[in-house]
Amino acid sequence: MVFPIVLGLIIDPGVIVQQMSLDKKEVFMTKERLLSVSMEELERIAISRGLSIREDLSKSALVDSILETLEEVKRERDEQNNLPIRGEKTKFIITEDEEFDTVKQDEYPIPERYNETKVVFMVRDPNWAFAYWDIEDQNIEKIKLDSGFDQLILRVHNLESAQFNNSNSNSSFDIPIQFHDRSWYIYLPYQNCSYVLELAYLSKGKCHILSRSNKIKTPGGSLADIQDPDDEDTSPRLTESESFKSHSSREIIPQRIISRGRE
Amino acid sequence: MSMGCLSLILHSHLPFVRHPECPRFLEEDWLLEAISETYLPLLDVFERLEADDIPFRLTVSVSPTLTAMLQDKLLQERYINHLQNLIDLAQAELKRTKNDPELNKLAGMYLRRFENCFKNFTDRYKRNIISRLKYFQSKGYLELITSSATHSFLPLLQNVPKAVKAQIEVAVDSHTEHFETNPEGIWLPECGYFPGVEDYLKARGLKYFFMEAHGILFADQRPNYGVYAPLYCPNMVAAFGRDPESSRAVWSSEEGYPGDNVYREFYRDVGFDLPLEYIEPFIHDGGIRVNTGIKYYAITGRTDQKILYNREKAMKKAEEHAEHFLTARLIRIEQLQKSMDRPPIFVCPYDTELFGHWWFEGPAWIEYLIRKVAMVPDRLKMITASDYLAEYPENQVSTPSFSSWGNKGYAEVWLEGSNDWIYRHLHKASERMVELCRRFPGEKGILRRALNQAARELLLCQASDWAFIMKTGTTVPYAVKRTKEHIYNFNRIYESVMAGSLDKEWLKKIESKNNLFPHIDYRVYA
Repeated sequence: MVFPIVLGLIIDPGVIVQQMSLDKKEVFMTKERLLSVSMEELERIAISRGLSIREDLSKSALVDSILETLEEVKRERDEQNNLPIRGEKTKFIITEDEEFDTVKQDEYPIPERYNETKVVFMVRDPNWAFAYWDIEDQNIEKIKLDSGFDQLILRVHNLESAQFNNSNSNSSFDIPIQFHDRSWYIYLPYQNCSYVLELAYLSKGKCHILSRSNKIKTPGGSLADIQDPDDEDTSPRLTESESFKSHSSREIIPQRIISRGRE
Repeated sequence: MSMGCLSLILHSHLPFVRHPECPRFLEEDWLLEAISETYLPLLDVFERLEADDIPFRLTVSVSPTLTAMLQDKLLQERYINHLQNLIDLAQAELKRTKNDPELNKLAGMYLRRFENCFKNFTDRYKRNIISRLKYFQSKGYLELITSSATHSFLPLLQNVPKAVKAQIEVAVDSHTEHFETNPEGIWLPECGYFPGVEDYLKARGLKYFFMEAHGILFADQRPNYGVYAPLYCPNMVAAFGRDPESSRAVWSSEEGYPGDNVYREFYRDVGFDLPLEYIEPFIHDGGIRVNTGIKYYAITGRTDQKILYNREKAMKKAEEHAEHFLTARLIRIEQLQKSMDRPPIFVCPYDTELFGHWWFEGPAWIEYLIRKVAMVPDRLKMITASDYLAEYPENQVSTPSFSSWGNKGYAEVWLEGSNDWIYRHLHKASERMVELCRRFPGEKGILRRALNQAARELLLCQASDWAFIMKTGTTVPYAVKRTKEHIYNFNRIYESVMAGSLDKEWLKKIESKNNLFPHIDYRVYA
């Protein structure tokens, strides 16, 4: 029998501990620890790590393949990092074993949201920004009662292409969102450009603004234009720099975006 | 005058990890290992250079959280216990390996190193590493600078300006208190720069900061000298750009120096290699295997059949690598001379903890490099950013670009699927802190203590390390727990202060646990 592959981390109730700091031995996936748990528990761990399991697998073979998978995940994660990040990471390596996610759910309860109508915009790189928002419960009730309600949206305004004006459709685009969405990564087409975001809803063809975000400005992502033609000869020195090559947004940078809102 | 300037910056930082509630706590090892493997060996390097009368000049940034931990009595005590345990282990190893002369020699090397750490930490430095750094600054060998209070990645706090302001102000105050001089410059955590952060720096007398190369290259005016000279921001705070070529040689484990086959292999530690029944008394309680620092093998190559580490060979290689580094800079100087009318400055910043902890031979490489540079004073000179600005006060004015030294050069490491959930809370808590300040502008007594603790908890949840660990995956549950802990503590204070019902016992408990910045004044958020 082959177990289905499940992606993502599942908290294993068998290894949740009361005092994380005192009983930390419980939380590391060492070979010894894995060999000491029941076959059933091992299979659960394997599935939670996305491993498919053959029925004829011995316990020690299963443990080995779990450890191999963990190693592979670690390697893949490392490959995504550049040199400073890989270097910096080494100072946090104190053990070679993977830790189970054992944070007790209620140890430090924090609110999921703050029940306010608000949207915050954060610039991430020359082409991407992140937005998170919240809508007050009573606002949501009001919107839901609006018989003409059509769609909740994020309206992205480009402040440079035209005067910031709510009715100017050329300088903005809309992203439809759902009531349960709370954050989004947004692709911004122009570099070196200011943007602002509105959390709004459409009703009977009209746009009702709930909240307007802070303003952000995307970085230029390339060398500034030459102002004095005599300066021309400095650019070879600049562009041969490795940093220029790896960070210039003139090259297409593959972006791996995980949008929590639509998981 | 030298033809080129070398500015080596060692950025020293660890997040605040202190758990008085547990007799031993795993993540405290970050600090304990760094003391034995990095901070004390580097001080040894400085001591030897001073004794040999070799001139040198380095910039060392010491983050306020690291400073607080190095000064903390409990952690100092724990370091001594940790070291005693390592000495016991090395002695056991000496006995265990007595029939294998090569292995035995290495066990002896570790025993001597640990004993040397013990002697220096207790007798020589009286547990006070900070005071020895101060000494080297007073002698002109080091320029000590600060970082933000809890090493917050500032571009992602910019929508709450007072949060950025507090990170800078608390850092400068803490530095001045511990080092008895105002810092001239700052290490922006993760080289995280956004246009406008220089205003907060200038307000507290900071004259320069360091940044990633493309922050300079993509400035709003094209930089005349690339990264080989600083830019002034419009408010005249100077921005120095990292030289990517010199950085790569040191960082890269594949093409760079640390990956050389004769160097020590980091991932073959006796804490993992030896049977549990033997190693158990020396690792964490309950048989949790951890790195002990005793590692017998060389990198060897892409094989599991590692050969034994040979210290002499490794030292010879470190010297060769120092020579290579120097030669590469000298060649670059010659190439740059044609297009520059002043000596280029090579800005080479590294995480201090890379040297010794991960790259075991790193401190020796630094020592060889310094000795070699001292032999060519007419060609290359070690200087700090302050020295450079004193010598070349006129620099191009231009606003640098938002940037960091993380993956792809911007904020992606600290803002992605694994960690983006934290910002809603970090920002909200910052705004609430500003609100508390407005409502309670001049409190005394217990309320004042609560507000000061709220400021500490807020700063602690803003540490970039938590988002970094969530992304890079070393001890994720701990990073998540710490983020939630400080947000929880902050919210609880906020709510109880607003409701006028403070739990004094609980406040006392968290004050004694999260005890950094003892003189903080919550009105830093005013």
